[in-house]
Amino acid sequence: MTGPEIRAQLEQHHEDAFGWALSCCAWERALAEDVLQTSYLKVLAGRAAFGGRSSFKSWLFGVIRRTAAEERRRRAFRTIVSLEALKAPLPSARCDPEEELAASEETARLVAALRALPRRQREVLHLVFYDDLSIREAAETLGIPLGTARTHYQRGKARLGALLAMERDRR
Amino acid sequence: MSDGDEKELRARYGALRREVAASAPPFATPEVHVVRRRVASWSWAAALAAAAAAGALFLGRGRGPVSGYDLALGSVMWTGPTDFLLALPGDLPPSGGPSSAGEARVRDPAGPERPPHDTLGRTEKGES
Repeated sequence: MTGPEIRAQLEQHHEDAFGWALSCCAWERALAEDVLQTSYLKVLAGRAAFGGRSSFKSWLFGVIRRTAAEERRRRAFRTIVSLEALKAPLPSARCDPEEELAASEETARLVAALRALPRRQREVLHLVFYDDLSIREAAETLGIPLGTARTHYQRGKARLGALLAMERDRR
Repeated sequence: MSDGDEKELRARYGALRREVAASAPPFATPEVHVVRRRVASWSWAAALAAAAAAGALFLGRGRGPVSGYDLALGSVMWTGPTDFLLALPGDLPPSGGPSSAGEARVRDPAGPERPPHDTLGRTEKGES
């Protein structure tokens, strides 16, 4: 796949890739944009090569997921070693889904509930409900066994439903 | 979770997808060319340095002072100061050995030759 073809594929999947980056970064917009740019650079500079074993979108999502994991580790390390981290609040505590996405009230509630889910459950639900992938495709994208993906899907769906119902009852 | 709840979840995700798509940053990869050029120039410089080092090693091999020294040794025979002690009867004394204080003598196989003078420098006839 040549450079212009890769660029065209990236542009075609850009919006879905941004949504996936948001999900991988617990809906922190600034972090998601950084992760997406780093992922694009990896792809275009040849540091991540598409082998054609899956769809380009699945492969790109894998690159984004790994890049987000690297960024999380880097942040965690910085939090540990930096004394400034003792003074400043954690980034996740600073973020407000309503401010970040300028979303509607319903969407903001969904994002808040998603952030309360474990990462794997959130990722599987995103791939299935947001990107309309099957659980098998979600498992391939995440590089986990199908049974594991199915378990995350069931548990995540039940927990998300409970969280949204709780929110609904509070209103 | 019932089917109705799942439909509601899909509808919520659909709304989320539309809002994310509307707020997504424009597609742009402005720094790719810079990074690629930097990587390319670095790899070219490394390859050039490696080739230069290999060439210098290849050309410099066999030109050192050791080989010239080997050639000089082939044309020169060195004799030590005590090599004359190794000379067997009938052999000529080594040319490079130190000269003795007295006259050179060749031992007679028939018997020991009497020295021309003793340690005090006197001859058999009593001359001093």
